[in-house]
Amino acid sequence: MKILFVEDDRELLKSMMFYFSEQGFNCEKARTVEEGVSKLHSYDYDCAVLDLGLPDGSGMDILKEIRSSRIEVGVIILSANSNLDNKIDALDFGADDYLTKPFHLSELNSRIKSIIRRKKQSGSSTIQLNEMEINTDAKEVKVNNELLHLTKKEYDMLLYFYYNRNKVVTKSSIAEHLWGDFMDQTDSFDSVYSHLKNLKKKIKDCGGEDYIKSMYGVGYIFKV
Amino acid sequence: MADANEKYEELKRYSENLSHELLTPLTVIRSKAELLLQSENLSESDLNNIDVILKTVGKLSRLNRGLILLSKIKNDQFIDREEILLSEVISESLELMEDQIRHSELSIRIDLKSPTKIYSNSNLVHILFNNLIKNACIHNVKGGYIKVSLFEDKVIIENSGLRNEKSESDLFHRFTSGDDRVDSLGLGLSIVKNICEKLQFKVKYTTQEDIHFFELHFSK
Repeated sequence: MKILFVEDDRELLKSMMFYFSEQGFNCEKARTVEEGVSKLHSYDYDCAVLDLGLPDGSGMDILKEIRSSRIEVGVIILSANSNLDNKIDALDFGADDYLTKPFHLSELNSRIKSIIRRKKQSGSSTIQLNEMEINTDAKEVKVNNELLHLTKKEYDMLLYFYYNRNKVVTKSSIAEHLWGDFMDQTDSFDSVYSHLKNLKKKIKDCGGEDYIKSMYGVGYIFKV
Repeated sequence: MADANEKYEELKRYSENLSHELLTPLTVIRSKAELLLQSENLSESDLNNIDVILKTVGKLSRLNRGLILLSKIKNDQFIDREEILLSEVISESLELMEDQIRHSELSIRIDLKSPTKIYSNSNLVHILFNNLIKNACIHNVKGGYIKVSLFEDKVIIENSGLRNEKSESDLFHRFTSGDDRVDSLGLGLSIVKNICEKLQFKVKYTTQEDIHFFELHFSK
């Protein structure tokens, strides 16, 4: 799997390259529109992560080039602007997703993986994980062939853990994933805990393994 | 006078730009803390320190986002107007707080029978009610209540809580929170006040003992 990151901030670029290389992705970088466009013309990528504010233009310029040259690649726009109009523009021009700064790496991770899954999947929408089976079309989860009756939040949380498996996921990133940034942290942490407790219980009741471990107060890790 | 206006405009632009410029550095700090968190053999105290960094970044981010929203409101960046059915907006706001309501075991008493419609900016009206309802939820007490009554020309949001020593004008001022129990930024009601000014609604806060009332009158 190959990802292109186009971002002009060197440190943010480094963080993303490191985080995704470690997970086995083949990562490349570009710091300008020109460099990004040239790489997209020369190589195949599964996903391109485009920052909007670049020194020689906007990530939107790259997106337009991708669409007009019919380059096959999933696109995530990173923006420093939470303006709804920008988001609608980006999606209208064919971006697959849109993420506002400051985002969590674990959120970017789940978005990238979900785009790649959607693009690659030929027929199969099921993820098999030992005794667990996640159907991303039906949004259903089975453990030992038994259907779990999950609420939407419990399902979203499980999929988020799955995409970020073997990584520490913070409570605040889970809270933001489930409720957006509208909730204040301390208010939502209790809710994260109670949804997680119910999710773990439902998995356990079907004889499933307890994969989700608590990391002191910081967050959780889904270990497989 | 023209000079003073120009300076004010410049200051407004400057503060909006500043907020935007902070977003990438905040992302850098957050990403480095997330990377640190993945290291092997972290002690409990390392983890706690990283946790504090992440929580502080979260707080700064929300603060920054609130300030960006405030300057957008002041700079008239919400100009579209449309017909809005208020009972729908209020139901959506309550739904957004569903988990908090369940967690605090709040009882919800609503009277949304009035088919009140206003012609206004949908984004701002949603933000306004989200903030008022959220305010009523988080400054509440376990087992308390929220009562929302919709009339033809006004909405009254009533909630149980603690006795409040802060005055009405203080409460609507930026960075003032009347409640030390919650980790609140004190921007929510300032946003409410600014939206009301922009949309020409009147908002009034009153309190009786430990009951709080927000009354919102809208122009038709």
